Amino acid sequence: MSTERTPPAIVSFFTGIVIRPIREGRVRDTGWPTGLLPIVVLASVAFVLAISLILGGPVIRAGSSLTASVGGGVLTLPRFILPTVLWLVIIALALMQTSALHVRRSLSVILTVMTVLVVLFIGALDLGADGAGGFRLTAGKVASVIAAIALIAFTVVRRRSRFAWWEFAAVFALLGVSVAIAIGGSAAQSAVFGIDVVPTAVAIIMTAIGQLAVPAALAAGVVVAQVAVTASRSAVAVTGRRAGSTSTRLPLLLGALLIVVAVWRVADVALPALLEGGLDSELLAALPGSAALLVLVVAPWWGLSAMRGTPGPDVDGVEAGLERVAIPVAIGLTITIAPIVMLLLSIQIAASWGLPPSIHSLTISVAGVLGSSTVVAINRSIIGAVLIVIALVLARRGSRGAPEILAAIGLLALASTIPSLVGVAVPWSSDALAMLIAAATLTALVVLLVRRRLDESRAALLATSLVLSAAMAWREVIADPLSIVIGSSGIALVLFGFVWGFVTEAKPTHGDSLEYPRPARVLLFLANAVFGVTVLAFGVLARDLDVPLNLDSFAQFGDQLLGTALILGAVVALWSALAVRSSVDSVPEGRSVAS
Amino acid sequence: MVVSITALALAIGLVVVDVPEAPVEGGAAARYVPLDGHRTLTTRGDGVITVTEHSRTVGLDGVFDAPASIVNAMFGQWGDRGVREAQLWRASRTEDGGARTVDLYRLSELGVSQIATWGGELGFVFEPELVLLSSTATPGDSWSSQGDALPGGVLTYTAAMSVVPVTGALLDYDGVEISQQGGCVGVQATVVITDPSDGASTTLEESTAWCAGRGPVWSTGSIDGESAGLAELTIRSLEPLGEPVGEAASVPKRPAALVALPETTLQVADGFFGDYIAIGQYSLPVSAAVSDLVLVDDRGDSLESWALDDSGATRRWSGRPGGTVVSAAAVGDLTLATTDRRQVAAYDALGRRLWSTTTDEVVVATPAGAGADPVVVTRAGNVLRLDARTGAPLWSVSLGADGRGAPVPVGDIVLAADERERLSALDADSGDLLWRIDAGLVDVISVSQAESLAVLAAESGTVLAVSLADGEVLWRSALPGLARSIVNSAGAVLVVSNEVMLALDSDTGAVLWRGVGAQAAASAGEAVVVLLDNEVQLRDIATGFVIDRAPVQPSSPGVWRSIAITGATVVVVDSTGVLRMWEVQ
Repeated sequence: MSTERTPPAIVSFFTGIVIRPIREGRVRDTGWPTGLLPIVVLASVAFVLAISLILGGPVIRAGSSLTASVGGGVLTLPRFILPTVLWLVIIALALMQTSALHVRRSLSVILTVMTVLVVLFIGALDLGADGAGGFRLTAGKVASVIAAIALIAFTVVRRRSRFAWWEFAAVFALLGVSVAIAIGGSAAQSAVFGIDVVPTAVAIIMTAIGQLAVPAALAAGVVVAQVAVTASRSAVAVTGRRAGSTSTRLPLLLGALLIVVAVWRVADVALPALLEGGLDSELLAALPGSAALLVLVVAPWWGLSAMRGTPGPDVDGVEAGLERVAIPVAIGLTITIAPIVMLLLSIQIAASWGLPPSIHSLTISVAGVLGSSTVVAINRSIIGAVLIVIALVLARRGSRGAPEILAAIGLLALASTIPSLVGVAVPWSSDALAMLIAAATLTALVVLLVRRRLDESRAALLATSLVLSAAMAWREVIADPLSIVIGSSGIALVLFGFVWGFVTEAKPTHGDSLEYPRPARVLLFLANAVFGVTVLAFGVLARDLDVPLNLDSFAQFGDQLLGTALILGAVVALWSALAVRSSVDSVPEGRSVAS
Repeated sequence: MVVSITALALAIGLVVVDVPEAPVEGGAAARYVPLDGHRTLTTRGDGVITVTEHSRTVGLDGVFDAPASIVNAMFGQWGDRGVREAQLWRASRTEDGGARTVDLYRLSELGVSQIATWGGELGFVFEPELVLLSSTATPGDSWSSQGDALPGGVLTYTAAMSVVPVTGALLDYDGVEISQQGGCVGVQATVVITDPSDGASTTLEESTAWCAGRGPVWSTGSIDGESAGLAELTIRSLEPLGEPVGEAASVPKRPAALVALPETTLQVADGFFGDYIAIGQYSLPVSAAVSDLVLVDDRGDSLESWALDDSGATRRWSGRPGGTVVSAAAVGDLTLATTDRRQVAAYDALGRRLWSTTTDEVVVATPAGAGADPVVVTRAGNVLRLDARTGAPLWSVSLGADGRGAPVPVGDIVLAADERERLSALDADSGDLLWRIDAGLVDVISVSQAESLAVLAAESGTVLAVSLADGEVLWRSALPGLARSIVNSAGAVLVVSNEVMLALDSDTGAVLWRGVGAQAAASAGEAVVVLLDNEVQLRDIATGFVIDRAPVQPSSPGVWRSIAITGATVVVVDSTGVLRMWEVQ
C-alpha cells in the first residue's frame, strides 16, 4: 500500500502555476563556462535593485528632495537616485555588448552599432564649460570616441574567441569610465554656473534609448495571458489529481467543478444583462467583430492541420509555440523602433560635433512620420501578413504549435490595424470573445449531456475551456493586486510581465549553438531584463507613466495581440480535442459524468 | 571578484562625479541669507506691510529679468565667467499699495554685497558692489567702500559699516518680540549717496539685525534725519489686495473673423531704468486669466503675470515661490503656482505671496477652481480643495492610485482621473465619491455643464462621453494619434490629436467632420480656434467650415507653442516669449 499522500489542492495548484514554470524557465547553470556565474549574480542584483526602485519609488520620492525639469513637459525626479539609474543602464549596455562579442555577425554588428551610438551620445552631452552649444572638444567627447573605437576593436578581436569572464569586466569598465568622464566632467563644469546637468542628462539618455525596451514590454504584456492559461489548466488538473485516476470520486469532482464553472460563467454573462435589462451596448456592438475573429482563428487551425496532415497542437503545444515566437514577433511588430533610435542618436551626436541644426529638424520630422499611427498600423499589418505566410511555411514543413499561434497573431494584427487604416470600425473585445467562448462551450456541454457522452476527459476539456473564457475577460485582474500597491495599473502590468518573464522565460538560455553560444544567450537575456526594469524604474521614480515612454501601452498591445492569440489558441486546441474525441467515440471511453 | 569590484568601483565613481551644486560662497555671512523661496513680512513705522520673496540663484538666471544697464554693469565688473558663476540672492518686495522693488545681492569671498535695485521709483547699480555683511560676520569687523551708485558715476556712494552683537530683544512696532532663533548679528551702516552733478546727497544711518536664514528682520535709523526702519511680522496669511484683472470683451456667439494684432514681445515696465523687453524662455502651456496670461519661465523659478492689451503684453508682477514651478493657473482672484518642493503657493493681484501649503507629493497637473477655492491633484493621487484665503485643505481625498491630469471642477462635482484607469466624480463640497468608472488612462477632459456631459480622450485612442449625473458612458469613438485638446460647444465635440481633428455629435458620438491633426484648440463661442503648425484657424465647430485663418511661422526645433483665449483675444505664445494675438470678431 502506498504511503505517498496527495499534496493539498492549493499546494498542487500553486506548484502548477508558480513553482513548475519557474523551475523549468529560470536562468540556471546548464554547463556555464567559468566566470559567467558572477556576471549572472551581478545582473540579478541589478534586476532586483531596479525592482526595488519600482516598488519603493513613492517612498524614495517622499523621502528625498526632487529635481524638476520644465519646458515642453515636466519631469520630477528624486535627485540622489540618478547615479543608480545610470549604473543600471551601463550594466545593461555592458551585458548586451559582451553578448555581441559571440553572437552571429549580423546581430553582433547591430548590437555594437547601438552600443557605440549610445556611448558617443552620452559623450556628446558634455557640451563644454558653460553648455553654450556649438562645437567644443570636451573630455567627455574625447573619452566617448576612445571608448567607441576600443569597443569596436575589442569586438573584432574577440569575435571568434570563446567567452571569457573578463570580457564583461573590460566592456563594463570601458563604458563606465567614458560615461563617468562625460557626465562627471559636464556636472563639475556646470555646477559653478548653478546648472545641475545630471537630471537632464539622465532624462535625455533614458528618452533616447528607452524605446529599446519596447519589445520586452510587448512580450511582458502576454504574461498575464500565459499565467491565466496555466492557472486554468492547473485548476482542472488539480481536481483530477485530487480524485485520483482510478478513484470513483473523479467523475463526481469533475462534474461538480464543471457545474460550478458553468454556473459562474452563465452568471457572469447573464446576471448583468438581467439586472440591466439587456446586454451592455458596447458588448453587443463588439459581438459580431469578435465572432468573426473567433472564426478567423478557428478556420486556419483546421486549414493548417489539413496542410500538415496531422492534428493541431494541444494546449501545451500552443504555449510552447508562443514561447518560441513571442520575442521575435515582438521585435517584428516594433521593427521601426531600432532604426528610429539609431537615427536620432546619430543626428544628435552629429549635432554636438557641429552638424547644422536644420538636419535635426528634418530628423525629428522623419522620426515623427515613422512613429505616426498610420505608419505603425501599416507596419503591423505587414508583419501580420508575414506571420501568416511564415505560419503556412512552417505548417508545410510539419511544425505544430508555432504555425497555429503565428497565424492567430497575424490575423489579430490584421484585424486590429486594417479597419483603422481603411476607416472602418470593427469593434471586438475580450469580454465579447469570452462570452462567445463560454456560450459555445456551454452549448457543447448541453449537447454532450443530452447525448449522454460527457465522460471525465470531456468534462475536463469543457471545464478548462470555460475557465479560459473567464481568463479571457478577467486576465488583467491578475496584475490588479500589484496595481493597488503601486498605484498604477499600467506599471503593475508591465512589472508583473517583466518579473514573471525574468523567472520563467529563460528557456532559450538553456540551449547552445555555434551562432548563439550559451553565455551570449544568458547575457542577452539578462541585458534585456535589466534594461526593461530600469526604464520602468525611471518612470516610477519620475512618477509619470509616460516617462521616458509609456511601456504600458505596448504591454497592453502585447496582451491584446499575443495574449488573446494564446488564449484563443488554447481554447481552439481544447475544442479540437473535444471534436476529435467526439468524432472517434461511439460510446464514452471513460466513466460517465452525466450518469 | 573582479566583476564585483568593477561594478562597485563604477557605482562609487558615478556618485563621486555627480556634482549637483557648487559650495555656497559668502563665508559665515551666508547663514544669514534667506533660503530660496523664503517669504518675510515686514512693516514700517507707517504700518505699510511689505511682502518680500527671497530667491537664490547662480549666474545668468538671477539677472535675466533685470534692466540692461544693470546686466551690462555686472558683466563689466565681473566679466562673463564671473557673472555666470555669481551666487545671487534676490529680494523682491511688494508693498500694500502695489509698489514693487527688487534688490539683488551677491554672495562672494567679500561676504554679502548689494549689487543693484530696480523696479521702483529709485534704482541703483553699485560698482563696486556694496558690502552689507562681511564674510566672517563677526562683531568687531568693520569696513568701508566707495564707488558708483549708478553706471558712469551718475550717482556715487560712500559706505562705512561694522558688525555689532545683538544685545537684548528686538521688538516690532506693536512691541511684539521678534524671534532670534538661530542667532542674529547687527550691522551699523552709514551710506551716503551723492549726485556729482550738483553735489546733493542723501545720508542713510541704519542699525540692522540680520538673523539666521531670514536676512534683515529689524532695522532702525534715519534717512537725511528722518527716522526710518522696519520690523518683521509673523502674520501667517494675508488678505488679497489689488483689483482682479478687469473684464475684457467677450468672444461673440458666432465669430466671423480673426483680426490680427501686431506681433509683439513681452515688455517690462521700470519707472527708473525705463521699459525693456523681457529676455527669457517660457515653459508652456500658458494659463489664461480674464485678460492676462500667467507664464512660467523655462527655468521654472519665476511665475509671471502679464497684462494684455492691443499693443502687447506688459508684466504686472513676477513671483518666486522657491524651487522649480511645475504648474501655474489663475483661480478666482488668485494666481497659483505648484513647485517641485511639493508646495502650492497663492499670489494676489499685486503679486504678493499670500500663502503656501505643503502637499504629500508634487502637483504637476494644473490646479483648477471649485468656486473661488483651488482644487489640486497630487501625483500620489490625493485630491485637495484648499481654502482660498489660507491654503488650508478643506477636504482631501485619496483616489487610491496615482493622480493623472488636472482636476476638472464642474458645477458641484470635481472630476479626477487616475493611473488605475478610472475616472472619479467627487462632491465639490465634501470630497465624497459620487461615482467612479473605468475610463482608461485619461489624457484630456472637457465638460459641458449645460449638457451634463464630460467628454474625455484616453490614451488607448478612445473618446468617451460620460454623463455627469451618474458616470454612465453615453457613447464611444476612436481617435488616432495623441489627444491634445477637446472643445465641447454648440452640440458638437471637437477632439484634436497630433494626427486628426475629429468633430463628433455630442448626443450620439456620430462623426460630423474630420480634419488634419493640430497642436491645440480652444473654444470661441460657437466656433473653435485651432492652432496648426503654420496657421491659426477659426472654424465652425458643427460643420468644420473654416471661417477665417491667419498664417503663423512654423515653430523652430526646440520652441514650444501654446494657445489661449483671454476675453476675445486669441493668444499664441512661443516659448521664446514671442506673442501673436488676434481679436475674435
